[in-house]
Amino acid sequence: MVALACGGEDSGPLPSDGQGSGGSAMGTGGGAPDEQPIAQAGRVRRLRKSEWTRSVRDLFFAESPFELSSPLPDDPKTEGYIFDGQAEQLNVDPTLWAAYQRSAQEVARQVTERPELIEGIAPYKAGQDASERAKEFLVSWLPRAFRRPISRAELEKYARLFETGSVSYPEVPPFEGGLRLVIEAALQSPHFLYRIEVSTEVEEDGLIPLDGFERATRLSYLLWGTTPDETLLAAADAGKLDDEEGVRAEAERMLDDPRAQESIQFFFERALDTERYLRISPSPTFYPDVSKDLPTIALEETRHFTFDIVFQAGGGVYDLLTSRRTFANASLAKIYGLSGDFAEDRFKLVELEPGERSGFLTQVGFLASHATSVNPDPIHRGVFVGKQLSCLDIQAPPANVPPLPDPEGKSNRELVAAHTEAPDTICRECHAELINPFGFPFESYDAVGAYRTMDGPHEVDTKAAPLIDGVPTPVSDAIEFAERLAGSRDVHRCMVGRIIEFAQGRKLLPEDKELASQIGEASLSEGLSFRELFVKIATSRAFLYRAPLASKESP
Amino acid sequence: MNRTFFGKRVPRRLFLRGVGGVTLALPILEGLRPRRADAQAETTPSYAIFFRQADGVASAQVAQELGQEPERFWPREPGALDAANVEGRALDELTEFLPKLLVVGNANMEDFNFGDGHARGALQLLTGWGPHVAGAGGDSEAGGESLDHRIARELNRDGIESLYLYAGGRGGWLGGPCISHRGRNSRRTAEPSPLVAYQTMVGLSGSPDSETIAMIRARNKSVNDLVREELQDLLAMSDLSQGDRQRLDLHLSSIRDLEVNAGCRTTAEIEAELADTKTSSTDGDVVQKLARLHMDVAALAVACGYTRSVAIQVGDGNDGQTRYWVDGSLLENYHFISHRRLSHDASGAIIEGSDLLHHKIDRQFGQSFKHLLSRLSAYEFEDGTLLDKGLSCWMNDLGNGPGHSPSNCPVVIAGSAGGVLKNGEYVVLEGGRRARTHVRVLNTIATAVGCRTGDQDYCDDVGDTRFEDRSPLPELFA
Repeated sequence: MVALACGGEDSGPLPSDGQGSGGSAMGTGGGAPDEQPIAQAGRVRRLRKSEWTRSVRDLFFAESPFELSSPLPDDPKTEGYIFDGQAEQLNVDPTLWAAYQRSAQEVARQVTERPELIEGIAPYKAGQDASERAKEFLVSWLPRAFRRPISRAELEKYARLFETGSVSYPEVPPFEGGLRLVIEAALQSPHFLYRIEVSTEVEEDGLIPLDGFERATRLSYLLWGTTPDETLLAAADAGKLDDEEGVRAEAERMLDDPRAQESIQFFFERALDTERYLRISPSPTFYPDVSKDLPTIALEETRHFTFDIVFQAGGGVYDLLTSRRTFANASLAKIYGLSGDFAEDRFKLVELEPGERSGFLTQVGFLASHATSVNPDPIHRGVFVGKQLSCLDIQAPPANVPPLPDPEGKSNRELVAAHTEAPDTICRECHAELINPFGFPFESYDAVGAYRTMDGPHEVDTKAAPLIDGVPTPVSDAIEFAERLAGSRDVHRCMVGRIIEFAQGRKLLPEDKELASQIGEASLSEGLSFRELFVKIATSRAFLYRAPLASKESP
Repeated sequence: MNRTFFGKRVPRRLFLRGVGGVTLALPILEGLRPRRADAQAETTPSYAIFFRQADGVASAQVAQELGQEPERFWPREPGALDAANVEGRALDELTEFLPKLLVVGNANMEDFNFGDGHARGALQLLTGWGPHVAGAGGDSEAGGESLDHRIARELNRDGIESLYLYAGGRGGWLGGPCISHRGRNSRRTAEPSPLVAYQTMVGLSGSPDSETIAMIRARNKSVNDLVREELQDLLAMSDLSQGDRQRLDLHLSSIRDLEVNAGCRTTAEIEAELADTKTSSTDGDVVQKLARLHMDVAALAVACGYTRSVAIQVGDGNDGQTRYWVDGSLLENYHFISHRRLSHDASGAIIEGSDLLHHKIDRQFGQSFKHLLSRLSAYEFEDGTLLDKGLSCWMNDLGNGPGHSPSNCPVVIAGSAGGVLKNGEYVVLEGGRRARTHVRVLNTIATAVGCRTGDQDYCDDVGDTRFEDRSPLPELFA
């Protein structure tokens, strides 16, 4: 067991079992599901920018998002939260309100100028007069916009607004005018802009079960990143989401729907930090044959790879880290040393060399985005494995760290080790036993991710003893390392913790760690697929209930 | 009647509290073109516009990459600013405005442990605060409120926030926009589109005639009334968290803000120019053009009394996306140039001549700052221009590029805030590099535009409470 002093505050879903693996601890798992604590949370959660965009698209059955003269502002970033917009930070300030107002007006205009969209939300029936048609529209569309049934008072309020549409928009026919004004208003309504949980009835166990519509909304934004469809709302209305089995059935259905792909892909892009691919910038002097489009090519590969794992192969954490199936175009085939016909504009399913590749960590995107323009970067490769995959707390280096000195005949590994592991330095504390051993196994891949056995005149040395589940574990190379990580309790818990963070819209809290432990254990021991992990979290008590506030002043 | 502050005479009107409701007598501007404002110059409130550059400047330094680099930014001598004093330096881009400038040297930030020099600089720049969580590097957040927000909170009418504008690529280091903060770990969203910023200010889009405007306003009002009622109903729910209440309250006040902002419009031609602009780019020319359009909106905003505080940020946390054009060539991204290397860290190949390239990029920032000063000067009063009424401040997160120094971070102030600050001088702050002067510069600016701490006649509470001295700097006052 190794005790480390370089861990910072617990800021992520650290899934260690408290045995000193570099940061703070979480429970060991074992509490019955109905005894797991639930963290308090707000009841009014604003839609993220991407959720707003998709919801508006789907409310009108449009094939693609509406084109706006100016996009909504980006959601604010929150320290330590890897997904967009932590719920507590999502507010409506004057800038965003102006954008909502403008966007609602533009969408309403576009909808009422496209007969096929009007027909989708307010189909004309022969013999029906305008007021009957208006009422049917309000009764059918407003519950979809607000993701719940509407009250009589609400119906009357919006009906009155509909009637004033002809005055507000004298240049269009009265029905279109009413439609336009109601759409404008509904898209600015807090009942659309926020996910509001109104349930307050506390059960004997002290928790508040969310009603079917609230559960439908949580499910839909987790699995689809958009508003519930009519089937899901109907299931809620029929009481089918009142029990876990009903929720499970709907979650399974939703994961089969293409809409799940957008949301799950977004999860992986953030969990695997593919934004970093934009930094890929190999030196044209050292890598003259590498495409300048490598950042986007690598991103495309990761998207294909994770889609294949989740939706085609039914894989889980183990497969993410060990699968040799991936997708390559001509540029990638060259880097991977593949022969055969490859086109630049088409990605083909390939099986990579077993002795050279094993899962995401041996793919071009990860390797090239954690490299300098010339050399592999074992430090940042190591930090990624430690922080992002194992959820260990690794502090950033102190400011003004001097650059690596000239190699003077050393290999890349020797140079990094000499620079960061010198005795009696502050660097050694984190690098010698934590960061570097996570990164050195990848020395067999150069700065663009090509496999290599030599580093200049030196044979590459990939042996290391990285900390896995709190124990230094000797591995001979990246292949063995990936296999060990795939069997790591910490890694499985960490990935599950990420999904919980994604689902709850916030960083992991102490109350979540029991759940992360339990599902993480199941992921490891039963080889659960990512689909099953998402379903398990979607059917957990933490997802289907909420805790009443302990006091009006918290959280 | 004047009162004294540190022995300096400061106009009485700056001590009036609650002057936010007093606005410039320009209820509806015809455009941004030069014009004379009529009376009431005496009541024109002061303002601050911040213009942020990342990655340090090409100042004299010894860097591992290129060895001794000559001075290319700072004036030659402290004291009066004249053409000879800035000749050959980036500041000579502002020669026309030298009598209006106060160049502040030796503004030193604290070397807080952000785990990253850019995070330390960008997040401390306007806040004066250390990190929310130490050592978080690219995940860092600020430990407190930024000055632009503070000024708006204290001096703007009806709680309107400062205008926060962004020019650059999307995302990037520190998530892109990162200098404006409501408070600890509460970063603000920036507006990347000058058109949207303008439309937000006036509450309208396009160039409708007055009859249409009336109809739009009536329509918006009916929707706003309905939304307001729904928000009030939600606020009446029991068991709402404090965060939920604050969220709904902010939403309500945002609706009100937009309603009261109308009436400060520009010409259709300028609206068209605002509309014909990208909202994000990594092309340096486009980024600087965006920054200048933001400045047009900023000038209009302070002229109309919409806000007394604007923050314009160019580039993300380390401006690692913008690629500038110099002498007809498209450079590597600015962060690489500032590092003097082909990498975001210290490992890439050395870029020969990058110190000179950095200087030429500094000049482009100087040219954009000059654009802002020209715009502000176009609003004339009997006793000066809008430029004189407030202050505009070109600031940098770092003292230099390769060293990421927290010391001697450039602060170039234009305008005297109505005669409060010195103009036409280069002042090097006392105390050497150990003196934590940057936070005192922030309090000087706050004081100059009218912020106060409690019953004091000055402001000394901006920035991290761990600083021993946050008082304003007497040597910067007129």
